[in-house]
Amino acid sequence: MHSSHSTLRRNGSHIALSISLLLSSLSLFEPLQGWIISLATIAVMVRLALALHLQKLPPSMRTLNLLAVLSALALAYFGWQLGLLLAMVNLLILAAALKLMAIRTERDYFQLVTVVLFVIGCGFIFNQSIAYSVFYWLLTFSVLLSLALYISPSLPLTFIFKLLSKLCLIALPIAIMLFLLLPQIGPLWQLPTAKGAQTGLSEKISPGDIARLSQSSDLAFRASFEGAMPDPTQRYWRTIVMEHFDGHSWQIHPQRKRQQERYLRANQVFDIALQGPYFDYKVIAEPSHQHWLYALDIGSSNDPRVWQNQDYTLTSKRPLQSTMQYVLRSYYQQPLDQGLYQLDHFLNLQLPTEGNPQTQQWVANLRAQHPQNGAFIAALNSYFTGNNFKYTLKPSPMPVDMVDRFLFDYQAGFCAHYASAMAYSLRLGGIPARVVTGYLGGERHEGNYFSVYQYDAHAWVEAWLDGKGWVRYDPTSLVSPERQLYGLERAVAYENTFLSDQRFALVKLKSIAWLNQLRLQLAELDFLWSRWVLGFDQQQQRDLLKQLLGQLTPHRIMLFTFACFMGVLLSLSLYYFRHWWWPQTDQRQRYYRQALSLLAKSKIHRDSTLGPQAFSQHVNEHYPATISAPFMQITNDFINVLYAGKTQQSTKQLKQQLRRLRAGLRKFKRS
Amino acid sequence: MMARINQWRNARIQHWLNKRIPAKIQHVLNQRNIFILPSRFGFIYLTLCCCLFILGSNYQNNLMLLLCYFLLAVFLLHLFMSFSNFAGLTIQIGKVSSVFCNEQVQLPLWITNGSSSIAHGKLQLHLFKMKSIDKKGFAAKQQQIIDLDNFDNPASLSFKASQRGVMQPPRITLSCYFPLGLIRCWTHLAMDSEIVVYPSPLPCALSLSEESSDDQQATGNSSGVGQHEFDRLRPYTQGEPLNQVAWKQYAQGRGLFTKAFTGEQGRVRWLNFNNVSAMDVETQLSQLCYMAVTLSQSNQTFGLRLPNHTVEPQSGQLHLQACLNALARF
Repeated sequence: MHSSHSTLRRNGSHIALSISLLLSSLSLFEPLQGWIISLATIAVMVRLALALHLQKLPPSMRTLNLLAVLSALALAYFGWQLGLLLAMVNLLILAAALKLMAIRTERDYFQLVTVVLFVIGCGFIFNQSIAYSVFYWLLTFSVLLSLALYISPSLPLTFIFKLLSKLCLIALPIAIMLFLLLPQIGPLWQLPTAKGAQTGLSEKISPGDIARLSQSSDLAFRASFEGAMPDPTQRYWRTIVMEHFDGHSWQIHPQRKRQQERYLRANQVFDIALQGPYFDYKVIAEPSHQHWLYALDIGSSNDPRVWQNQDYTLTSKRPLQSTMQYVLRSYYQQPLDQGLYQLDHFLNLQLPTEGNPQTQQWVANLRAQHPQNGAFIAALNSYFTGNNFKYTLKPSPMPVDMVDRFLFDYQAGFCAHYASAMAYSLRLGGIPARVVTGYLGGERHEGNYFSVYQYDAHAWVEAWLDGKGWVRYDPTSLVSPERQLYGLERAVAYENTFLSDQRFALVKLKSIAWLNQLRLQLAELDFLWSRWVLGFDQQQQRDLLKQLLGQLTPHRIMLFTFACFMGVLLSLSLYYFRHWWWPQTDQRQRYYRQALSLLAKSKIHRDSTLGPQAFSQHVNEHYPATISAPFMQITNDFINVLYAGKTQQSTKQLKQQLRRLRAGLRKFKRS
Repeated sequence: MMARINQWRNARIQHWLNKRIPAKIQHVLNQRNIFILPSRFGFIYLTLCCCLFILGSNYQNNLMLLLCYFLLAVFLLHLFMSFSNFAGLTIQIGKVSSVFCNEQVQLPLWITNGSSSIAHGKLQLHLFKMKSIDKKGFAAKQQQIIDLDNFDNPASLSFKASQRGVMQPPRITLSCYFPLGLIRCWTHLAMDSEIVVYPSPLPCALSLSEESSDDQQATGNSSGVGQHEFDRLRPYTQGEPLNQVAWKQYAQGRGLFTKAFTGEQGRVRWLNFNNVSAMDVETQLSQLCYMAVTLSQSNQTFGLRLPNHTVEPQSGQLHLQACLNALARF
């Protein structure tokens, strides 16, 4: 392709491309740095000004080179701690913005188109909702529009729109077919994840953390059940087990972490004997950029991506970059007593060296009164129930001796306070105990599935009882039974703090019936989207093929795929080369033929020796103007098409002439 | 060595093309003469699809995979659209006017749509040129871009004629990137036509030999064109220079006459190839060409005698063309 050809009007294509770039970079406002977005905006302004002839000269190459160097320095300065993925996205937009200002040759333009398409693709890493998907499809369309305008500058816009819409409408089913048929391959290698994008529970909690998480109405995951559903008291979605306490916050014990990594590396599977009744369900987890998965006790999965840990939690072998679906079976009556007894005991009797003296004293007294484990735990529980403890989202800060302050001074806190205080007390009393975080509850929908939101995050306690294994205790539910039975919103209704930071959360408007209806329908739609589009994976692909083909032999799959491709190619060639198979006369000639047959019906026959022009004259001389005038128009156009290859009238006009001719003939017959 | 290989390869390509797309006055583009492959942007685009696929697989991101497949499907459809857009175009060569050597030849090309489809998009025209082939000596690649939705027939493609003689027009390459530029549809057409390239006029002294009308060669050369006296009026024939029209008589309403001068009669003057002395044949021809043009400008009557051809004495534009033609075909 040649570059000298800049005279043709190509502004439309530049405008469409600039706008696509601007919108795609705006949609990435979270991962992008502010100054890069402003640079992109400026670049788009410059390009638009050039395209609309507000500005004649593009910025000089020297200016742009200087700008490029400065930006690269700035990006290196600001971006080196961003992590590879974010740095890449930032760099991509930066390069596109600079390129946009410097489009000179055809090659520049095509490079920029490629980059913008790639940016749109990257957008899907960060935004996967339905709305964003539609938005990105529109952007893709506008990039294609830009290309079409570039290649055919003088085609009318409506024509190009039609052409592209047709193209997209045919391409989409083919794309979906490819998506369903082409084997999904697993991740080839570990890609950089977006730092700071991690959402949901963290691996270390201080008492305030979960309260902060509770201000978020983001979806954490969905669980869709087959058969039995868990009661509200069973909906403890176990996620992370924390065994190390430093007097203030809980975290995963480093030793446990090392052990798990070792097992994973050696591929040493934690085999649990499981029996008893169970729930069958499927979890569709939202991207959290973490490894943790959610399950009811004791969850097990055959999914090769899911790893069973020694503490009965499940992790994904790769961080959840996008929606992940996994099938689970939870044996809810199976005791948690098959771990490494020695290690469990050693880790879970660990105590911080100092702090919380009041609690230590109090537990020592209590333990002296109740040497029996059961009685001791009951005494602890009754302390929580008997002292007017309050469940609040706005606990007072307790920086020093947190357990002391909570148990004896404020007596009001969030779940993490309760869990922390109880686990600590149990350890002081010589009972191995730990804090488990996860989610409690979930919104139940029709169709037997739950939506669990971030504000459902919860923390509870597990204590080791000989003969029973790890037993769950939830001191929060003693203080606030509503939390367990009805969820956070009811539990904190008295203090009106539910999602108080989010002024416009739809969940808060539950009381307005139609809004709630709308919200539930949107949630339903989103569920289907996550389940069938975002969560479509190898397993589902196999199931789908099994349904279509019966048994899956490689032979059959190959044959089927081949047949599908041939089918597509065949139907496309039938469609695009239809005039080869079914030669059809030109539309214009058809109108002339129609006019002739209309005349023939009224006994006006064209002598085979008469040419079109002569026949038209003949009609003109012998018949009234109501017939001859429209017929002459049609004849003229026919002659034009036939001999000049050009038409002067639109099909609409021709149709109108035909109608006039018909009316004229009718009148003629009557008279 | 490389040059040899190149030459051999080019000869093969030329041979193959000649068999596949022989020269014709009119070509209708169809599957026999259309080549279709991804353009350079098309290859970049496919690379982009690969990147999206790898990224989408690694992030297990179905939307990215869908986008990748969508772009691939667009590419596939593009293939069909490009072809059905390009096929059916009819390219016909018009009459090529003769030129002097080292002047620009204009190839008039009539491009029309087929009966069943209308082609859109930009069409790029240039001479087919292979690596290191420059035998005919066509000047550097000149490109003409026409917009199929907005252009006037005939499109013309010009190139410099660098050798005297009669030649076939060179192969013409037409390419189209409709609708999105991902795929290039092209063809190399050989047009069946004749381009007459006259020698380029080389200024020199006129050297005419005079002969009596009975074809006997006279001895001395007259240098220059002598002044002649007015002899009589004869009826005007088309092509005679206007400065010799008898305007006075015309104004009197007696019709168009040409003033005839003495010296035109009896003695006939010849441009003779053998009388022009120069280094080589081409220079001789160039000089003859100059003389013919000069004589013609002052509307002299002269004949042209070449070893293999003789143009009888005459004057006027048509005569000049006959002479130049003879020189070109020498």
